Amino acid sequence: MVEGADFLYLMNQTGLTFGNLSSHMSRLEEAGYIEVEKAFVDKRPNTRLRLTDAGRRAFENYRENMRRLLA
Amino acid sequence: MSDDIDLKEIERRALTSYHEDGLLDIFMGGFLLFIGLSAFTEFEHRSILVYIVPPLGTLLYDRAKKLVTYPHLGYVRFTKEMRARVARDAFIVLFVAGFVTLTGLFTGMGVPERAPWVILLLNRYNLLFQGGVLALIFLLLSTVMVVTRLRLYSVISLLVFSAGYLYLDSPFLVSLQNLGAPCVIIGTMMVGMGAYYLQGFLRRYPKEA
Repeated sequence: MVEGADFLYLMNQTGLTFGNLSSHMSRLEEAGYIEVEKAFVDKRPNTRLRLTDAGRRAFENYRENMRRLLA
Repeated sequence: MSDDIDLKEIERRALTSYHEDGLLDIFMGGFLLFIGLSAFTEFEHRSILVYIVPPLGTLLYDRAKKLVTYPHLGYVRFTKEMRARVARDAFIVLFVAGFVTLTGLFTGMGVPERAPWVILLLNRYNLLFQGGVLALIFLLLSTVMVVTRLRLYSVISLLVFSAGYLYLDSPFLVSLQNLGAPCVIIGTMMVGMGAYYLQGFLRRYPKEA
């Protein structure tokens, strides 16, 4: 359903600062959970992030584990 | 961890957050206002405007989204399938509603052998019929676009058109003036509601310097 989102959208939704979110994203990118694409929109730099299949699976696993732990 | 975080739910929220800006309400309400106000004018080529205003409104809506929503909220890219599905469903809803209305109106006017229920529906209960069609459009669009508040407009449409049926001088006549008043009322309400949502949206998501 969602292909990706830009940095501003994620900042708004998570309430994290630019630096904080940036550091999280770097780690997720290193782990192969997200892909980062830099582009220009209306002559302004725009960073778009996309959840990879591995990232999607990892999130579902995490969710499943947490659910079992809390049950 | 807050309750049960579901990716599908997060994605659904991404879709609905795009309509928190109230622009949809403002443009749809603006279109109803246009229909309502044009019903009171004597401009003879107004039927042509009905074909010009919707595509022009769509272009302006798209432009407004780019100017207001993306710089404040950020950008989410939906999959091609998702975008195609929403566009196709919205088109089907509007096409079917337009077809039903136009067929109904043409069947009701000047055809001597029309069925009694058509006469009743289009001559005696024409305002209720129009209100019903509008309510149905809002209801279906709310499902297609996942915008729950459109259901409220569905109920309002039924109420306003029913009130028109009860209180207008000659609600039994198929006339543009009869259609005009309810459209102006609903359109004004929607534009007002949209403006309220828009100012809330701009406050919640201030533009980055």
